[in-house]
Amino acid sequence: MKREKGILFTLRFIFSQSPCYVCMSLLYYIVTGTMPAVHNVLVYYLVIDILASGKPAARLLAVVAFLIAYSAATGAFCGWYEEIYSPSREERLADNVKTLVLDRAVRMDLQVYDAPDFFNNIVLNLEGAHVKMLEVMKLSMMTVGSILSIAMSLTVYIGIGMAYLGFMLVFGGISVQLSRIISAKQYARKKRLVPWERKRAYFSGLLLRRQGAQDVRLYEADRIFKSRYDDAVDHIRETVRKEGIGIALLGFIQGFVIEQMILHFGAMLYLAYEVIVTRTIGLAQFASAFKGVSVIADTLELIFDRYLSRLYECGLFVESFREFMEYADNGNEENGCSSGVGGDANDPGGYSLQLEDVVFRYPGCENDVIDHLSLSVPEGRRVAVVGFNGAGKSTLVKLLLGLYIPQSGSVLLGGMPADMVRKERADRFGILFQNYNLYAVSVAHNIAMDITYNDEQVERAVEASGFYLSGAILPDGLRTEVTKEFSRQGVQLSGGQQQLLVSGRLYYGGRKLFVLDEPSASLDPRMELEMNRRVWELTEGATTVIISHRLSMTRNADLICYMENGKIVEKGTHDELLAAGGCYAKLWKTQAEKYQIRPSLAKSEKVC
Amino acid sequence: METRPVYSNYWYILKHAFRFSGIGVAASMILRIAEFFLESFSALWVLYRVIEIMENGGGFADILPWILGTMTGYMVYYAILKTYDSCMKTGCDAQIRRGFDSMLFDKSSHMDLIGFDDPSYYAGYSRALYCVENVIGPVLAAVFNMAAFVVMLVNTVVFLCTVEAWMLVTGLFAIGTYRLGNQYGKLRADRQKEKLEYERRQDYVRQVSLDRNYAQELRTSRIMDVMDQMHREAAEGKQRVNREYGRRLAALSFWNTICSVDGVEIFCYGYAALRILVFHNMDVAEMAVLFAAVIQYSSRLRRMMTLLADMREKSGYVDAFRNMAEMKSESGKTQPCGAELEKLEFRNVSFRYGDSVVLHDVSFQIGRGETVMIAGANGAGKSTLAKLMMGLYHPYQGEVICNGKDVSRLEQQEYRSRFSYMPQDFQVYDMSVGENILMREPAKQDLQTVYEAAAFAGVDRWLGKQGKDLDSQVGRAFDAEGMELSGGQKQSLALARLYAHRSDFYILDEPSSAMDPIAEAELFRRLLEVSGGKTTVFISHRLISAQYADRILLLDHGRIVETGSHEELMQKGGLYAEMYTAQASCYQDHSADRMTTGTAEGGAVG
Repeated sequence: MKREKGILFTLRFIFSQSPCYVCMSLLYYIVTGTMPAVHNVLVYYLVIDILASGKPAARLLAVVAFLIAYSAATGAFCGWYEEIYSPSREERLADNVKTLVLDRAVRMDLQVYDAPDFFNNIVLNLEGAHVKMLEVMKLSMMTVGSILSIAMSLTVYIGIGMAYLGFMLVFGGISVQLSRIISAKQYARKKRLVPWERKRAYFSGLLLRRQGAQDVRLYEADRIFKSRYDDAVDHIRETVRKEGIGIALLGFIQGFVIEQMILHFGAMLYLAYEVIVTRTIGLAQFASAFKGVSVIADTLELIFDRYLSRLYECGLFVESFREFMEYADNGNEENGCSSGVGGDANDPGGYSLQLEDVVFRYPGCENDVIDHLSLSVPEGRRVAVVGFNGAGKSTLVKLLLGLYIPQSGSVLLGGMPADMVRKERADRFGILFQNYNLYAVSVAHNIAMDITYNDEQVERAVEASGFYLSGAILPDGLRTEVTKEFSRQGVQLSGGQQQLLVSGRLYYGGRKLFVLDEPSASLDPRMELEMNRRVWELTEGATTVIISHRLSMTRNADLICYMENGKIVEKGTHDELLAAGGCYAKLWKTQAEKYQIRPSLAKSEKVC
Repeated sequence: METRPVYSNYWYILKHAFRFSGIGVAASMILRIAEFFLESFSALWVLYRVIEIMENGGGFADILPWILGTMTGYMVYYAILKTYDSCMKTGCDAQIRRGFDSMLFDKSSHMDLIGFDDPSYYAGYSRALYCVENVIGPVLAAVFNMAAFVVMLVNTVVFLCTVEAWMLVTGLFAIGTYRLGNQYGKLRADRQKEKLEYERRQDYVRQVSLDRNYAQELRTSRIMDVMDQMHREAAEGKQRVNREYGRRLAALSFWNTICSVDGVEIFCYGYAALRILVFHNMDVAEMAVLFAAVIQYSSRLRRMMTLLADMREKSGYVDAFRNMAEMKSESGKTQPCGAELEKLEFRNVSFRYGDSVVLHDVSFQIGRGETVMIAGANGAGKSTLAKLMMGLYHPYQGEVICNGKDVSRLEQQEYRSRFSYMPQDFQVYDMSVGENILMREPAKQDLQTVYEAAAFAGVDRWLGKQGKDLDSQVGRAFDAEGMELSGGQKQSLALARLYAHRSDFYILDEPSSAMDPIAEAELFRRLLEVSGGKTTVFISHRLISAQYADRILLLDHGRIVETGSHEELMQKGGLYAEMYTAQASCYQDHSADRMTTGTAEGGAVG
């Protein structure tokens, strides 16, 4: 029942998106579904009846005229639906689904990505949601069409005998029940095989794609990958063989005993009996009933073997989809309305940042990553957060940006709660992440990160980032696309050029609030120095939080906070902290002394 | 790209599929033929005989053998079908898939690594992958259907010849339909091709929206609006293509339907009416069966026509697969390299990805026991240089010489096994911890190696803390019990891997993700501990580690601009000195005295 509900949910969803399309599609699948019944049973019956019983030729003409009209009408309708109407509607629906599903996914809490089970089970299943949803719709409508086709074929029997009709309904019902059992068994087996299928796909991916290519060449890792792949295939074969007998037996009972033996051949014998012994029906009726029986048998098989079992297979997707929509609807989406900070972006009081007694832990973890942490960044000041890997620095950034919601405590921006929506964040913060991305769109879009942009400002931002000094050539100016993915004119940028271009985002839009997470992590010394200089220039007078474990970057900050285990353990200016001689001083010493040691000494150390 | 005739491609797939799973192919083929044959047999011969018997006043007993005979046929068919479908089909499919997969595995593991990095190489390869994943199944199904259809057609033709040879005229409709269908298929393929560009854009947007790596930026900027726009524009582009082709396709589809099914039907009803009403020389049995035969034959024909159009489209992917599978493997790369690496030399090596040249005319040599550092900015070509050393890439000009032999002629796997390499982008796989260290199935004698490596790299420490051991699974993609590793844990696993693969030549690439300086210094110390005394090349953009090197090669924009020891280069006062000073100045410029007091105190307290 759960799956039927899921299918209904999907249908309702598509209907809410495009009611016309659903109605038109239903009509189309009814027309195409009943077509065999009309041609092979109804018209066939009428023609034979007329010819065999010597009815007037005019009636034959009428039937042929009907057939011509019917063919022309259905042909035109189907051609229109298949080639004109449906492709365009499908496109529009795909676009809507994309907006609804993907945009919703983007608005979901970032934490979703840190819960691997949720991510694997739900988010990954959303890939290709638009295709699968359409498939669910088509399959269910095809089933409706086929059922109507059966009903239509059955009308031929009304003249023959209600007894047989009842007989047919009883066994048809049994067949439906059996088929449900079989589908459920198949589905359960399939679900059990999913991890193995994944395993197979994973190892074939390693063997075929870039990810594993290097280790295949270095360690001949292909041997172990292949052996794991084989394990998966063998396991699948074994499981299928072992568990298949029961399904095969049920399938035989349903497919042969009920559908063929009882419904198909039983009907033939019954009809033959009526013709020969009771003489209640004529040859014409016999022939068309015979056809009708085979149409019904074929259609039943189509429904059970193709449509329903495929619909069951879509169950996995449908369940994930439902779960996702429910999850998103239950307020786990970021608030649609901003809680007060918005509006007056020029409000001078709006640029201080404050964390008050914040506690945060990742879902499913036992330890607090941020442990009762308080931090205040006054407007126009630069605060640096330093510490070892795993101290919680990056989590702190996400809390500041309102990407994570703390378990307790509050994050305030300009004195107001900072749980804001995406667009607002985009307007307020100049952000540079450690793992940034470039997009396969124009340079200008990559800088402005928005559809509309101001050419002049973009130009100035690119200029200021030092990107032009790196020797990059933009054939189409700022409209040049990044990567050659979609444009032959696109530019392929080196790692250093990418970093410079990304830093150009900070210069765009006159920001007064910056959050920088390891801005110079992968730069060479000259560029690092240059970057430090630029960043310092840029953030002059702006509220800035800068995260780094390279202390050379942060020594000039107004306040340096040393983090350990989710707490700030030391804070002060560079000089104060050095004087205090705590952890910060120790870290500084380790970094600085590398440049003090005479290389010759170091060498001799190494030798012994 | 080579294009082969459709039949040849289909034969190729069938032949190989049979080799991989004879039972699977034979069973599917026979079952499909049996299905079509039984269907046409019962709809034609049985119906004809039964009606004939009844018309001639035959009794119930005369019909029974026909019906029971057919039923027996169906029984056997269903018994085999259900057994095969439930117990074997999935397995046979997996075997066929494995066969084709391994044809590609062999190619992909011997293909130059550049094949994965260069988009122009990769395009053909990914079409071949697409073929295995999405095309082989439908191709086989099409072959089985086609065979079954031929059987059915022969049966129908024989039947028509015995009953009413005139009706074969309806075959003319089929020819007309074929031509229409062909045109229709071609037009559809064109439309698909035009849409492809837009599809790729939409796929890109979908991928970006769900990808973990993009999640933060999407939530902190308006770039999703740009993505939305891209998606919408692609959708509009597809709509335009739809509109452009829609009418012609609809018209073709309309005429196709009319000619194939409806035309035949009307023709045949008209013919029967003529015979019965005007000439009075046709009986009901003949007529009923005739209609049945013709309708069946024409409706099957229509399905075949769509199948044919489809087969032509799929054939292109099979071409891509064959191009890949029949590609000559590296020949002439069979020379053994010497017992030990004495000397590695680059002679005027240039290297490029696609159009962009990464290394220009690089020459240097490394002798046994030397420690060499490759320094330079991001993207200067450092990692590429390392990959060229190990024969993972091959130069497009110049040569890499090992012990006096051209590396590109050596037996690659053997040559590469002479190196211990710590790559920048090391991968951790969803296998057991031990397997991740050893990178092969651990045999009994390997256990000691794995154990030592784990102990050396500190892997056993975090394993112990979590109550896991070396057999525990890494990753949760298909094992709910698997461990998710942190960056530091992955790093230590990579170190253990390096330790387990010790050799005489080490190539150490700096870790790409940001590490804190102490962890970085610790990692370097451990790395050099592993490689102690052996030939070592290490790559870094942080000059801190320069002190460990005998010699430094400084790369800038793909060229070696300076080479020498740290002192020599500092004295020279060139780019290296400038970089070193830049880095050191961050720590020193404030005035040395404050520095020293600071550090002295720090040392005392800490």
